[in-house]
Amino acid sequence: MEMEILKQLIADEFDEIDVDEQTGFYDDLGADWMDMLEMMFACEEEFEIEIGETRMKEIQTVGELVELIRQLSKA
Amino acid sequence: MRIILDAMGGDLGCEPVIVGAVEARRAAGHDYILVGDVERLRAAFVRNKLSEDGFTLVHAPDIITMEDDPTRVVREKRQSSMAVGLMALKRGEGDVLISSCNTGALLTGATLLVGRVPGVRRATLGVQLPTKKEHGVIIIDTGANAECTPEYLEQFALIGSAYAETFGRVRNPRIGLLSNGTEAHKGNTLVKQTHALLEVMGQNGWIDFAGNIEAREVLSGDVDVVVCDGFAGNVLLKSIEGTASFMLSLLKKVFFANTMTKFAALLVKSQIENLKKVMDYREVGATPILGISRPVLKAHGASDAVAWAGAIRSAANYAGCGTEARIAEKMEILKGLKENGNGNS
Repeated sequence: MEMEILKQLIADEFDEIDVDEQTGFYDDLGADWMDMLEMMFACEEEFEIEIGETRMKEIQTVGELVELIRQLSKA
Repeated sequence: MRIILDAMGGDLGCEPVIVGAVEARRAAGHDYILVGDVERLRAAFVRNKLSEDGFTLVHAPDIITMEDDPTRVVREKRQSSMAVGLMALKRGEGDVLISSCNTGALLTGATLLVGRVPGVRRATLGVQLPTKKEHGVIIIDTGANAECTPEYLEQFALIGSAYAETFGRVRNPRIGLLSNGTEAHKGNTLVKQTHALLEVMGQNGWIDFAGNIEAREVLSGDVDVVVCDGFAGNVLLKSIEGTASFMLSLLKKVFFANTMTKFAALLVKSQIENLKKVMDYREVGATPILGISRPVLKAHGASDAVAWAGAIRSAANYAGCGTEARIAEKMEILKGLKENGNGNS
């Protein structure tokens, strides 16, 4: 479920629908830090979690973000 | 119109915001949402013997300073006057927001809290300046994005074009690309790659691309929009401001040289006053952050009451002209062109 919602958020942010867990935010989607901040805000609002910049800085791929969202949603 | 004012973001505190807004309300009406420390706002109304009629006061205890890190303030200062104001704008409680706080913080806050127009990669600052002709010129970007890609500049051309069409009422804006020579091969890598993108758009009739333009021709009025990265745009803008100020000081010296020239100055006093008005940033007061989904304007950090009244005039004009909708249309067209392989990036 998290992956499907995240795909929608990525489509809104990057205008890209062809993504999977291996897709890299920086390498494949051409993201920069502002894009990642926008993703973070969107995820925090959508999943009602608090990610924070420190954790977000470690995220490289879509799969890593999905995993983080799952962990924080359980907590 | 409901105008949201970040009352605490400027260098001079809330006083000039309130005095300027009361003056603007006297001249043009509107309702105002003043965001800031309510106790201090009320005290400023009392101190200046002004009525709160037409003003809704919204409490926001935090203040963003010029030293605050833009990306952190949005998270850590959610109770700042800027953040509270932007959230009110997002919820539709106002039609437009003006803030004089730290430019980086306002850009980041507007992007993260209000959001961009769909398709826009980066919000940008477009400043309109007078030219030798009757119409102005829009310089975009003037400092929001120091690091840019050719795709950002391609979008700035369309965003600037939308701004010129809606706010400047220019039917088919001519777009120039700032470079160190008019020939297509002049410029750094960014400029050359952007030139290629804009040339394709021009050849296909999607924009009226006038090619490269040198800094000395920016105020000629030959183009309606000058596209550049935020670093070059900011240097260009400050150079123009500095030159204008220098020229005015030279003019003053000429007129105050002796009794004869002082007498001559008296004869042209009203024309000199008009010239000073053209060059006074306070007359415009604020410039829009283009590409945000709702109207947000940045006022000068040191704005006095006159500048705030000017900013409110500009904001009311801007908010009613539909620039955001026009930018959205252009982004949709650009997306279609790229998907159909008509754009060359």
